Amino acid sequence: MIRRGSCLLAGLVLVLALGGCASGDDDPGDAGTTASASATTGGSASSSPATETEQAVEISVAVTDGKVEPEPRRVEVAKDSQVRLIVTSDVDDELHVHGYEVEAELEAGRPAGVELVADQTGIFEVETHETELELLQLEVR
Amino acid sequence: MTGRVIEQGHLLAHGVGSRDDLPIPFAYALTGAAVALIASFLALGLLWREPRLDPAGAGRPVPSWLARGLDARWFRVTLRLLGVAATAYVVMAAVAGRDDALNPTAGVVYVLLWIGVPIVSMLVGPVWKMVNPIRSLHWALSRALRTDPAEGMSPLPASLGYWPAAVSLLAFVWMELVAPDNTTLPVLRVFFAVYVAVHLLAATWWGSGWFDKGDGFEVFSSLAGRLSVLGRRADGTIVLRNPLDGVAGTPVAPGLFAVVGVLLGSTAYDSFANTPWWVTQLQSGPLSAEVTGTLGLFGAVVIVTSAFAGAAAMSGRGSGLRPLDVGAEYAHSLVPIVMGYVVAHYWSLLVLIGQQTVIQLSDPLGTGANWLGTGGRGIDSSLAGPTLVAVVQVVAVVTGHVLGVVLAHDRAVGILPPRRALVGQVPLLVLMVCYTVGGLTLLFAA
Repeated sequence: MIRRGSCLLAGLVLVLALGGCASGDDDPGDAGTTASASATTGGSASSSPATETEQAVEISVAVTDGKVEPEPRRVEVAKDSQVRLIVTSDVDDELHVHGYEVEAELEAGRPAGVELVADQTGIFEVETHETELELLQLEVR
Repeated sequence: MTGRVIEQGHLLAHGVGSRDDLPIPFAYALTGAAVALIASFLALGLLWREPRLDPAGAGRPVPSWLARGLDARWFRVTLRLLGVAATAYVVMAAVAGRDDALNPTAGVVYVLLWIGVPIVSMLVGPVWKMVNPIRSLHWALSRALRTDPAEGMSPLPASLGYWPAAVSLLAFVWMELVAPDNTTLPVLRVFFAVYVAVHLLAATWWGSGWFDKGDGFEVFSSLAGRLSVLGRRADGTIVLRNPLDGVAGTPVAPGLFAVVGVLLGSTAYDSFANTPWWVTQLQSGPLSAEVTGTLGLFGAVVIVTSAFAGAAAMSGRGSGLRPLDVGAEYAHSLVPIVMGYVVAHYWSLLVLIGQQTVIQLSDPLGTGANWLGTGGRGIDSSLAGPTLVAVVQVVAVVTGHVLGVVLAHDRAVGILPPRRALVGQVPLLVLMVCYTVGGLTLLFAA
Protein backbone atom coordinates (compact mmCIF):
# COMPACT_ATOMS: atom_id res chain seq x y z
CA MET A 1 0.00 0.00 0.00
CA ILE A 2 2.56 2.50 1.09
CA ARG A 3 4.81 1.57 -1.77
CA ARG A 4 2.03 2.06 -4.22
CA GLY A 5 1.22 5.30 -2.45
CA SER A 6 4.70 6.69 -2.89
CA CYS A 7 4.79 5.71 -6.56
CA LEU A 8 1.45 7.39 -6.96
CA LEU A 9 3.03 10.43 -5.36
CA ALA A 10 5.85 10.44 -7.86
CA GLY A 11 3.29 10.12 -10.63
CA LEU A 12 1.23 12.90 -9.13
CA VAL A 13 4.25 15.15 -8.84
CA LEU A 14 5.00 14.41 -12.46
CA VAL A 15 1.48 15.21 -13.59
CA LEU A 16 1.31 18.37 -11.49
CA ALA A 17 4.68 19.57 -12.63
CA LEU A 18 3.96 18.89 -16.27
CA GLY A 19 0.52 20.43 -15.87
CA GLY A 20 2.13 23.48 -14.35
CA CYS A 21 4.47 23.90 -17.26
CA ALA A 22 1.88 23.11 -19.85
CA SER A 23 -0.56 25.67 -18.52
CA GLY A 24 2.01 28.30 -19.35
CA ASP A 25 2.26 27.26 -22.96
CA ASP A 26 -1.25 26.45 -24.03
CA ASP A 27 -2.52 29.96 -23.79
CA PRO A 28 -2.44 31.22 -27.34
CA GLY A 29 -5.91 32.75 -27.27
CA ASP A 30 -4.87 36.22 -26.27
CA ALA A 31 -2.30 37.44 -28.72
CA GLY A 32 -1.50 40.49 -26.64
CA THR A 33 -0.45 38.50 -23.59
CA THR A 34 1.56 35.76 -25.20
CA ALA A 35 5.21 36.01 -25.92
CA SER A 36 5.60 36.63 -29.58
CA ALA A 37 8.82 36.61 -31.46
CA SER A 38 8.56 39.59 -33.73
CA ALA A 39 11.66 38.59 -35.57
CA THR A 40 11.24 38.25 -39.29
CA THR A 41 13.15 34.99 -39.28
CA GLY A 42 10.56 32.25 -39.19
CA GLY A 43 12.32 30.23 -36.48
CA SER A 44 10.84 30.03 -33.01
CA ALA A 45 12.37 32.19 -30.35
CA SER A 46 13.25 29.26 -28.20
CA SER A 47 15.13 26.77 -30.28
CA SER A 48 17.96 28.58 -32.01
CA PRO A 49 20.91 29.16 -29.73
CA ALA A 50 22.67 32.43 -29.32
CA THR A 51 23.09 33.79 -32.76
CA GLU A 52 23.72 37.49 -32.75
CA THR A 53 20.49 38.25 -34.56
CA GLU A 54 18.13 40.77 -33.03
CA GLN A 55 15.19 38.69 -31.97
CA ALA A 56 12.75 40.77 -30.02
CA VAL A 57 10.26 39.17 -27.67
CA GLU A 58 7.41 41.20 -26.31
CA ILE A 59 5.53 40.04 -23.21
CA SER A 60 2.47 41.81 -21.81
CA VAL A 61 0.98 41.22 -18.39
CA ALA A 62 -1.84 42.90 -16.52
CA VAL A 63 -2.40 43.04 -12.75
CA THR A 64 -5.97 43.68 -11.60
CA ASP A 65 -7.23 43.27 -8.02
CA GLY A 66 -4.12 41.31 -7.12
CA LYS A 67 -4.70 38.85 -9.95
CA VAL A 68 -2.17 38.31 -12.68
CA GLU A 69 -3.46 38.00 -16.23
CA PRO A 70 -2.40 35.75 -17.88
CA GLU A 71 -1.68 33.47 -14.92
CA PRO A 72 1.98 33.17 -13.93
CA ARG A 73 3.74 31.05 -16.53
CA ARG A 74 7.14 30.35 -17.93
CA VAL A 75 8.07 32.27 -21.07
CA GLU A 76 10.91 30.72 -22.98
CA VAL A 77 13.29 33.04 -24.81
CA ALA A 78 16.54 32.38 -26.61
CA LYS A 79 19.74 33.61 -25.01
CA ASP A 80 20.79 37.06 -26.20
CA SER A 81 17.37 37.97 -27.49
CA GLN A 82 15.88 41.36 -26.80
CA VAL A 83 13.04 41.09 -24.29
CA ARG A 84 10.41 43.76 -23.81
CA LEU A 85 8.14 43.42 -20.79
CA ILE A 86 5.00 45.53 -20.67
CA VAL A 87 3.04 45.56 -17.44
CA THR A 88 -0.23 47.29 -16.70
CA SER A 89 -1.10 47.43 -13.01
CA ASP A 90 -4.24 48.89 -11.44
CA VAL A 91 -2.17 50.27 -8.57
CA ASP A 92 1.13 52.12 -8.35
CA ASP A 93 3.86 49.56 -8.02
CA GLU A 94 7.42 48.66 -8.87
CA LEU A 95 8.40 46.02 -11.42
CA HIS A 96 11.50 43.90 -10.83
CA VAL A 97 13.22 41.32 -13.01
CA HIS A 98 15.28 39.10 -10.74
CA GLY A 99 18.81 38.18 -11.76
CA TYR A 100 18.91 40.89 -14.40
CA GLU A 101 18.14 43.37 -11.64
CA VAL A 102 16.10 45.65 -13.82
CA GLU A 103 13.36 47.70 -12.23
CA ALA A 104 10.66 50.04 -13.43
CA GLU A 105 8.09 52.23 -11.71
CA LEU A 106 4.51 51.29 -12.53
CA GLU A 107 1.87 53.98 -12.51
CA ALA A 108 -1.71 52.81 -11.92
CA GLY A 109 -3.48 52.09 -15.17
CA ARG A 110 -0.58 53.02 -17.45
CA PRO A 111 1.35 50.36 -19.31
CA ALA A 112 5.03 50.56 -18.45
CA GLY A 113 7.89 48.23 -18.78
CA VAL A 114 11.47 47.35 -19.25
CA GLU A 115 13.69 46.12 -22.00
CA LEU A 116 16.60 43.83 -21.46
CA VAL A 117 18.98 41.64 -23.38
CA ALA A 118 18.60 38.08 -22.11
CA ASP A 119 22.30 37.35 -21.82
CA GLN A 120 22.28 35.02 -18.79
CA THR A 121 20.72 31.58 -18.91
CA GLY A 122 18.40 30.29 -16.22
CA ILE A 123 14.91 30.90 -14.92
CA PHE A 124 14.25 34.40 -13.64
CA GLU A 125 11.23 35.64 -11.74
CA VAL A 126 9.50 38.81 -12.77
CA GLU A 127 7.61 40.30 -9.87
CA THR A 128 6.05 43.40 -8.38
CA HIS A 129 7.40 44.82 -5.14
CA GLU A 130 4.37 46.46 -3.52
CA THR A 131 1.75 43.83 -4.30
CA GLU A 132 4.42 41.10 -4.05
CA LEU A 133 3.12 39.14 -7.01
CA GLU A 134 5.09 36.92 -9.30
CA LEU A 135 4.02 37.85 -12.83
CA LEU A 136 5.91 35.29 -14.84
CA GLN A 137 9.18 33.43 -15.11
CA LEU A 138 11.60 34.19 -17.89
CA GLU A 139 13.27 30.98 -19.06
CA VAL A 140 16.41 31.95 -20.94
CA ARG A 141 18.16 29.13 -22.77
CA MET B 1 10.33 52.62 -20.85
CA THR B 2 11.83 53.58 -17.56
CA GLY B 3 14.08 50.61 -16.99
CA ARG B 4 17.12 51.17 -14.86
CA VAL B 5 19.81 48.81 -13.82
CA ILE B 6 20.46 48.57 -10.10
CA GLU B 7 23.38 47.18 -8.18
CA GLN B 8 24.12 43.48 -8.37
CA GLY B 9 23.51 43.24 -4.64
CA HIS B 10 19.81 43.08 -5.29
CA LEU B 11 20.21 39.43 -6.26
CA LEU B 12 18.83 38.34 -2.90
CA ALA B 13 15.78 40.55 -2.93
CA HIS B 14 13.40 37.93 -1.63
CA GLY B 15 13.64 34.22 -1.15
CA VAL B 16 17.08 32.85 -1.61
CA GLY B 17 18.63 33.47 -4.96
CA SER B 18 17.27 35.27 -7.91
CA ARG B 19 17.50 32.64 -10.58
CA ASP B 20 16.69 29.00 -10.90
CA ASP B 21 18.46 26.44 -12.99
CA LEU B 22 17.07 25.52 -16.36
CA PRO B 23 15.26 22.18 -16.44
CA ILE B 24 17.62 19.32 -17.20
CA PRO B 25 17.27 17.80 -20.70
CA PHE B 26 14.78 14.94 -20.85
CA ALA B 27 17.48 12.55 -22.04
CA TYR B 28 19.48 13.26 -18.87
CA ALA B 29 16.48 12.56 -16.65
CA LEU B 30 15.69 9.36 -18.51
CA THR B 31 19.29 8.14 -18.42
CA GLY B 32 19.53 8.91 -14.72
CA ALA B 33 16.33 7.04 -13.96
CA ALA B 34 17.42 4.04 -16.04
CA VAL B 35 20.81 3.86 -14.33
CA ALA B 36 19.16 4.10 -10.91
CA LEU B 37 16.68 1.36 -11.74
CA ILE B 38 19.25 -1.02 -13.19
CA ALA B 39 21.70 -0.42 -10.35
CA SER B 40 18.97 -1.19 -7.84
CA PHE B 41 18.13 -4.59 -9.27
CA LEU B 42 21.76 -5.48 -9.86
CA ALA B 43 22.39 -4.67 -6.21
CA LEU B 44 19.60 -6.98 -5.17
CA GLY B 45 20.95 -9.83 -7.24
CA LEU B 46 24.70 -9.41 -6.97
CA LEU B 47 25.61 -7.82 -3.65
CA TRP B 48 26.94 -9.68 -0.63
CA ARG B 49 24.72 -11.86 1.58
CA GLU B 50 26.40 -11.06 4.90
CA PRO B 51 26.85 -7.52 6.26
CA ARG B 52 30.16 -6.17 4.99
CA LEU B 53 30.24 -2.57 6.11
CA ASP B 54 32.22 -2.23 9.26
CA PRO B 55 32.17 1.16 10.95
CA ALA B 56 34.14 -0.08 13.96
CA GLY B 57 37.26 -1.22 12.12
CA ALA B 58 36.95 0.74 8.88
CA GLY B 59 39.67 2.39 6.88
CA ARG B 60 43.35 2.99 7.34
CA PRO B 61 44.70 5.24 10.09
CA VAL B 62 46.05 8.57 8.85
CA PRO B 63 49.75 9.32 9.51
CA SER B 64 50.34 9.90 13.20
CA TRP B 65 51.51 13.53 12.79
CA LEU B 66 48.20 14.33 11.07
CA ALA B 67 46.14 12.52 13.71
CA ARG B 68 48.02 14.34 16.49
CA GLY B 69 47.50 17.68 14.76
CA LEU B 70 43.76 17.13 14.21
CA ASP B 71 43.25 16.11 17.82
CA ALA B 72 45.57 18.75 19.27
CA ARG B 73 44.02 21.06 21.82
CA TRP B 74 45.38 24.17 20.09
CA PHE B 75 43.73 23.10 16.83
CA ARG B 76 40.37 22.53 18.51
CA VAL B 77 40.56 25.82 20.43
CA THR B 78 41.54 27.70 17.27
CA LEU B 79 38.53 26.29 15.41
CA ARG B 80 36.20 27.27 18.28
CA LEU B 81 37.62 30.79 18.39
CA LEU B 82 37.28 31.10 14.61
CA GLY B 83 33.66 29.98 14.89
CA VAL B 84 32.95 32.55 17.58
CA ALA B 85 34.74 35.33 15.66
CA ALA B 86 32.94 34.56 12.40
CA THR B 87 29.60 34.46 14.21
CA ALA B 88 30.32 37.75 15.95
CA TYR B 89 31.14 39.29 12.57
CA VAL B 90 27.84 38.16 11.05
CA VAL B 91 25.88 39.18 14.15
CA MET B 92 27.40 42.63 13.76
CA ALA B 93 26.10 42.77 10.18
CA ALA B 94 22.71 41.48 11.33
CA VAL B 95 22.36 43.92 14.22
CA ALA B 96 24.20 47.05 13.09
CA GLY B 97 24.12 46.65 9.30
CA ARG B 98 21.66 48.22 6.92
CA ASP B 99 18.62 46.08 6.20
CA ASP B 100 18.95 46.01 2.43
CA ALA B 101 19.82 43.54 -0.28
CA LEU B 102 23.54 44.25 0.14
CA ASN B 103 23.58 42.97 3.73
CA PRO B 104 25.40 39.62 3.83
CA THR B 105 23.34 38.05 6.66
CA ALA B 106 20.72 36.28 4.54
CA GLY B 107 23.37 34.88 2.21
CA VAL B 108 25.40 33.64 5.17
CA VAL B 109 22.37 31.92 6.69
CA TYR B 110 20.67 30.44 3.63
CA VAL B 111 23.72 29.65 1.51
CA LEU B 112 26.96 29.42 3.52
CA LEU B 113 25.48 27.90 6.69
CA TRP B 114 22.60 25.91 5.25
CA ILE B 115 24.20 24.60 2.03
CA GLY B 116 27.91 25.30 2.39
CA VAL B 117 28.46 23.71 5.81
CA PRO B 118 26.86 20.33 4.92
CA ILE B 119 28.76 20.17 1.63
CA VAL B 120 32.06 20.96 3.34
CA SER B 121 31.16 18.38 6.00
CA MET B 122 30.61 15.80 3.28
CA LEU B 123 34.16 16.45 2.08
CA VAL B 124 36.12 16.71 5.34
CA GLY B 125 33.88 15.48 8.16
CA PRO B 126 31.48 17.00 10.71
CA VAL B 127 32.92 20.51 10.90
CA TRP B 128 29.95 22.27 12.48
CA LYS B 129 30.28 20.54 15.83
CA MET B 130 33.85 21.85 15.98
CA VAL B 131 32.89 25.47 15.36
CA ASN B 132 29.24 25.57 16.55
CA PRO B 133 29.00 28.94 18.32
CA ILE B 134 26.07 27.79 20.50
CA ARG B 135 28.32 25.04 21.88
CA SER B 136 30.98 27.66 22.68
CA LEU B 137 28.40 29.90 24.30
CA HIS B 138 27.16 26.96 26.37
CA TRP B 139 30.72 26.16 27.41
CA ALA B 140 31.25 29.75 28.58
CA LEU B 141 27.94 29.75 30.42
CA SER B 142 28.80 26.47 32.16
CA ARG B 143 32.14 27.92 33.23
CA ALA B 144 30.38 30.97 34.65
CA LEU B 145 27.92 28.73 36.54
CA ARG B 146 30.79 26.44 37.63
CA THR B 147 29.12 23.38 36.16
CA ASP B 148 30.48 20.67 33.85
CA PRO B 149 29.30 21.47 30.28
CA ALA B 150 28.83 17.77 29.55
CA GLU B 151 26.72 17.12 32.64
CA GLY B 152 23.74 19.44 32.83
CA MET B 153 20.97 19.13 35.42
CA SER B 154 19.46 15.89 34.22
CA PRO B 155 20.48 13.06 31.88
CA LEU B 156 19.26 13.41 28.27
CA PRO B 157 16.42 10.90 27.76
CA ALA B 158 17.40 8.41 25.04
CA SER B 159 13.82 8.29 23.83
CA LEU B 160 14.12 11.88 22.57
CA GLY B 161 16.62 10.68 19.99
CA TYR B 162 16.85 12.99 16.98
CA TRP B 163 13.31 14.34 17.31
CA PRO B 164 14.43 17.76 18.64
CA ALA B 165 16.73 18.11 15.61
CA ALA B 166 13.87 17.20 13.28
CA VAL B 167 11.72 19.91 14.88
CA SER B 168 14.45 22.55 14.75
CA LEU B 169 15.18 21.74 11.10
CA LEU B 170 11.49 21.95 10.28
CA ALA B 171 11.35 25.38 11.92
CA PHE B 172 14.31 26.52 9.85
CA VAL B 173 13.02 25.23 6.50
CA TRP B 174 9.65 26.84 7.26
CA MET B 175 11.42 30.18 7.66
CA GLU B 176 13.50 29.54 4.54
CA LEU B 177 10.68 28.46 2.25
CA VAL B 178 7.44 29.89 3.62
CA ALA B 179 7.89 32.81 6.02
CA PRO B 180 7.28 36.24 4.50
CA ASP B 181 10.21 38.69 4.40
CA ASN B 182 12.55 35.85 5.32
CA THR B 183 15.67 37.60 4.05
CA THR B 184 15.08 40.73 6.09
CA LEU B 185 17.04 41.33 9.24
CA PRO B 186 14.14 41.47 11.75
CA VAL B 187 12.95 37.99 10.73
CA LEU B 188 16.47 36.52 10.83
CA ARG B 189 17.23 38.18 14.18
CA VAL B 190 14.08 36.82 15.81
CA PHE B 191 14.58 33.32 14.42
CA PHE B 192 18.16 33.01 15.60
CA ALA B 193 17.52 34.70 18.95
CA VAL B 194 14.85 32.07 19.65
CA TYR B 195 16.95 29.26 18.19
CA VAL B 196 20.00 30.10 20.30
CA ALA B 197 17.92 30.61 23.46
CA VAL B 198 16.10 27.28 23.10
CA HIS B 199 19.24 25.25 22.42
CA LEU B 200 21.24 27.01 25.12
CA LEU B 201 18.52 26.26 27.69
CA ALA B 202 18.17 22.65 26.55
CA ALA B 203 21.94 22.11 26.70
CA THR B 204 22.10 23.71 30.13
CA TRP B 205 19.42 21.29 31.33
CA TRP B 206 20.59 18.13 29.56
CA GLY B 207 24.30 18.79 29.01
CA SER B 208 26.25 19.41 25.81
CA GLY B 209 25.25 15.99 24.43
CA TRP B 210 22.07 17.85 23.48
CA PHE B 211 23.84 19.42 20.49
CA ASP B 212 24.73 16.01 19.02
CA LYS B 213 21.06 15.04 18.77
CA GLY B 214 19.03 18.22 19.14
CA ASP B 215 20.71 21.05 17.21
CA GLY B 216 19.44 20.80 13.63
CA PHE B 217 22.46 22.44 12.02
CA GLU B 218 24.87 20.22 13.88
CA VAL B 219 22.91 17.06 13.13
CA PHE B 220 22.71 17.97 9.42
CA SER B 221 26.47 18.64 9.31
CA SER B 222 27.31 15.47 11.22
CA LEU B 223 25.09 13.30 8.99
CA ALA B 224 26.70 14.80 5.87
CA GLY B 225 30.11 14.27 7.50
CA ARG B 226 29.44 10.54 7.61
CA LEU B 227 29.98 10.60 3.84
CA SER B 228 33.48 12.00 4.25
CA VAL B 229 36.50 9.80 3.57
CA LEU B 230 38.05 11.31 6.69
CA GLY B 231 36.42 9.86 9.77
CA ARG B 232 36.79 8.12 13.10
CA ARG B 233 36.47 4.54 14.15
CA ALA B 234 34.42 3.75 17.21
CA ASP B 235 37.60 3.90 19.32
CA GLY B 236 38.38 7.42 18.09
CA THR B 237 41.19 6.55 15.66
CA ILE B 238 41.17 8.98 12.72
CA VAL B 239 41.09 7.02 9.47
CA LEU B 240 40.71 7.39 5.74
CA ARG B 241 37.74 5.18 5.04
CA ASN B 242 35.12 4.08 2.59
CA PRO B 243 32.28 6.64 3.00
CA LEU B 244 29.80 3.75 3.13
CA ASP B 245 31.43 2.54 6.34
CA GLY B 246 31.02 6.03 7.73
CA VAL B 247 27.32 6.20 6.94
CA ALA B 248 26.74 2.66 8.22
CA GLY B 249 28.13 3.84 11.56
CA THR B 250 25.43 6.48 12.04
CA PRO B 251 24.03 5.96 15.57
CA VAL B 252 20.64 4.26 15.42
CA ALA B 253 18.24 6.45 17.37
CA PRO B 254 14.57 7.42 17.33
CA GLY B 255 13.63 10.27 15.02
CA LEU B 256 16.55 9.96 12.61
CA PHE B 257 14.18 9.10 9.79
CA ALA B 258 12.21 12.26 10.59
CA VAL B 259 15.39 14.35 10.29
CA VAL B 260 16.10 12.80 6.90
CA GLY B 261 12.43 13.21 5.91
CA VAL B 262 12.47 16.93 6.75
CA LEU B 263 15.63 17.45 4.71
CA LEU B 264 14.40 15.49 1.70
CA GLY B 265 10.80 16.72 1.82
CA SER B 266 11.77 20.37 2.16
CA THR B 267 14.21 20.22 -0.75
CA ALA B 268 11.52 18.60 -2.90
CA TYR B 269 9.05 21.28 -1.87
CA ASP B 270 11.55 24.01 -2.73
CA SER B 271 11.83 22.56 -6.23
CA PHE B 272 8.10 22.13 -6.61
CA ALA B 273 7.32 25.60 -5.24
CA ASN B 274 9.06 27.18 -8.23
CA THR B 275 6.56 25.83 -10.74
CA PRO B 276 4.21 28.48 -12.14
CA TRP B 277 1.33 26.22 -11.14
CA TRP B 278 2.26 26.35 -7.44
CA VAL B 279 3.04 30.07 -7.65
CA THR B 280 -0.53 30.58 -8.90
CA GLN B 281 -1.90 28.54 -5.98
CA LEU B 282 0.14 30.65 -3.57
CA GLN B 283 -0.93 34.03 -4.87
CA SER B 284 -4.47 33.38 -6.11
CA GLY B 285 -5.58 30.32 -4.15
CA PRO B 286 -8.38 30.41 -1.56
CA LEU B 287 -5.92 30.58 1.36
CA SER B 288 -3.19 33.07 2.10
CA ALA B 289 0.24 32.42 0.65
CA GLU B 290 1.62 31.59 4.10
CA VAL B 291 -1.08 29.01 4.86
CA THR B 292 -0.82 27.41 1.42
CA GLY B 293 2.96 27.37 1.65
CA THR B 294 2.89 25.85 5.13
CA LEU B 295 0.47 23.13 4.01
CA GLY B 296 2.61 22.42 0.94
CA LEU B 297 5.86 22.22 2.89
CA PHE B 298 4.49 20.14 5.76
CA GLY B 299 2.60 17.95 3.29
CA ALA B 300 5.81 17.23 1.36
CA VAL B 301 7.66 16.38 4.58
CA VAL B 302 4.85 14.16 5.87
CA ILE B 303 4.50 12.28 2.57
CA VAL B 304 8.25 11.68 2.18
CA THR B 305 8.67 10.66 5.83
CA SER B 306 5.62 8.41 6.11
CA ALA B 307 6.42 6.71 2.79
CA PHE B 308 9.82 5.84 4.23
CA ALA B 309 8.40 4.71 7.58
CA GLY B 310 5.88 2.53 5.75
CA ALA B 311 8.46 0.98 3.44
CA ALA B 312 10.76 0.29 6.38
CA ALA B 313 7.93 -1.30 8.36
CA MET B 314 7.08 -3.57 5.41
CA SER B 315 10.71 -4.47 5.01
CA GLY B 316 11.00 -5.42 8.67
CA ARG B 317 8.15 -7.93 8.73
CA GLY B 318 9.49 -11.19 10.04
CA SER B 319 12.51 -9.60 11.69
CA GLY B 320 10.95 -9.44 15.15
CA LEU B 321 11.72 -5.71 15.31
CA ARG B 322 9.07 -3.09 15.96
CA PRO B 323 8.20 -1.07 12.82
CA LEU B 324 9.60 2.21 14.17
CA ASP B 325 12.82 0.50 15.17
CA VAL B 326 13.21 -0.84 11.64
CA GLY B 327 12.77 2.72 10.39
CA ALA B 328 15.58 3.81 12.70
CA GLU B 329 17.78 0.96 11.42
CA TYR B 330 17.34 2.02 7.78
CA ALA B 331 17.26 5.81 8.17
CA HIS B 332 20.99 6.22 7.53
CA SER B 333 20.57 4.78 4.02
CA LEU B 334 18.73 7.98 3.03
CA VAL B 335 21.67 10.22 4.00
CA PRO B 336 23.42 9.93 0.59
CA ILE B 337 20.07 10.44 -1.15
CA VAL B 338 19.51 13.63 0.83
CA MET B 339 23.00 14.90 0.06
CA GLY B 340 22.66 14.00 -3.62
CA TYR B 341 19.49 16.00 -3.82
CA VAL B 342 20.94 18.91 -1.83
CA VAL B 343 23.92 19.10 -4.19
CA ALA B 344 21.66 18.80 -7.24
CA HIS B 345 19.24 21.42 -6.09
CA TYR B 346 21.58 23.96 -4.56
CA TRP B 347 24.81 23.63 -6.52
CA SER B 348 24.41 26.75 -8.63
CA LEU B 349 23.03 28.67 -5.65
CA LEU B 350 26.14 27.80 -3.65
CA VAL B 351 28.43 28.77 -6.53
CA LEU B 352 26.73 32.06 -7.42
CA ILE B 353 25.19 33.40 -4.22
CA GLY B 354 28.06 31.92 -2.19
CA GLN B 355 30.46 34.16 -4.10
CA GLN B 356 28.10 37.09 -3.81
CA THR B 357 27.90 36.60 -0.05
CA VAL B 358 31.68 36.59 0.27
CA ILE B 359 31.74 39.86 -1.68
CA GLN B 360 29.03 41.36 0.54
CA LEU B 361 30.79 40.21 3.72
CA SER B 362 33.52 42.72 2.96
CA ASP B 363 31.08 45.52 3.70
CA PRO B 364 28.94 44.18 6.55
CA LEU B 365 27.59 47.53 7.73
CA GLY B 366 26.79 48.99 4.34
CA THR B 367 29.27 51.83 4.72
CA GLY B 368 31.17 51.19 1.51
CA ALA B 369 33.99 49.45 3.39
CA ASN B 370 36.09 46.67 1.92
CA TRP B 371 37.44 44.97 5.05
CA LEU B 372 38.11 41.56 3.56
CA GLY B 373 39.40 42.79 0.22
CA THR B 374 36.71 40.81 -1.61
CA GLY B 375 34.49 43.81 -2.21
CA GLY B 376 35.53 44.56 -5.75
CA ARG B 377 35.32 41.03 -7.07
CA GLY B 378 32.85 39.91 -9.68
CA ILE B 379 30.91 36.67 -9.66
CA ASP B 380 32.54 33.91 -11.69
CA SER B 381 29.76 31.85 -13.20
CA SER B 382 31.93 29.31 -15.00
CA LEU B 383 31.03 26.63 -12.43
CA ALA B 384 27.33 27.23 -12.98
CA GLY B 385 26.99 26.87 -16.75
CA PRO B 386 23.82 25.06 -17.88
CA THR B 387 25.49 21.87 -19.14
CA LEU B 388 27.74 21.49 -16.11
CA VAL B 389 24.82 22.12 -13.77
CA ALA B 390 22.67 19.50 -15.51
CA VAL B 391 25.48 16.94 -15.34
CA VAL B 392 26.17 17.70 -11.67
CA GLN B 393 22.47 17.36 -10.89
CA VAL B 394 21.95 13.98 -12.53
CA VAL B 395 25.24 12.53 -11.28
CA ALA B 396 24.53 13.71 -7.71
CA VAL B 397 21.01 12.28 -7.61
CA VAL B 398 21.99 8.94 -9.15
CA THR B 399 25.11 8.57 -6.99
CA GLY B 400 23.06 9.24 -3.88
CA HIS B 401 20.56 6.63 -4.99
CA VAL B 402 23.17 3.94 -5.64
CA LEU B 403 24.90 4.54 -2.29
CA GLY B 404 21.51 4.47 -0.56
CA VAL B 405 20.63 1.13 -2.16
CA VAL B 406 23.93 -0.43 -1.08
CA LEU B 407 23.54 0.86 2.49
CA ALA B 408 19.98 -0.44 2.75
CA HIS B 409 21.09 -3.80 1.37
CA ASP B 410 23.90 -4.13 3.87
CA ARG B 411 21.58 -3.28 6.76
CA ALA B 412 18.86 -5.63 5.47
CA VAL B 413 21.14 -8.65 5.40
CA GLY B 414 22.23 -7.68 8.89
CA ILE B 415 18.84 -7.37 10.58
CA LEU B 416 16.55 -9.64 8.57
CA PRO B 417 16.50 -13.43 8.76
CA PRO B 418 18.42 -14.86 5.76
CA ARG B 419 15.38 -16.10 3.86
CA ARG B 420 13.68 -12.68 4.21
CA ALA B 421 16.78 -10.61 3.47
CA LEU B 422 16.22 -10.19 -0.28
CA VAL B 423 12.42 -9.93 -0.33
CA GLY B 424 12.59 -7.59 2.64
CA GLN B 425 14.63 -5.06 0.68
CA VAL B 426 12.13 -4.68 -2.11
CA PRO B 427 9.89 -2.09 -0.36
CA LEU B 428 12.91 0.13 0.30
CA LEU B 429 14.25 -0.32 -3.22
CA VAL B 430 10.90 0.67 -4.68
CA LEU B 431 10.77 3.69 -2.36
CA MET B 432 14.27 4.81 -3.36
CA VAL B 433 13.44 4.43 -7.04
CA CYS B 434 10.33 6.55 -6.41
CA TYR B 435 12.39 9.23 -4.64
CA THR B 436 14.93 9.28 -7.44
CA VAL B 437 12.44 9.31 -10.28
CA GLY B 438 10.50 11.99 -8.39
CA GLY B 439 13.69 14.00 -7.89
CA LEU B 440 14.70 13.73 -11.53
CA THR B 441 11.17 14.62 -12.57
CA LEU B 442 11.35 17.79 -10.48
CA LEU B 443 14.71 18.67 -12.03
CA PHE B 444 13.29 18.08 -15.48
CA ALA B 445 9.89 19.66 -15.07
CA ALA B 446 9.92 22.12 -12.20
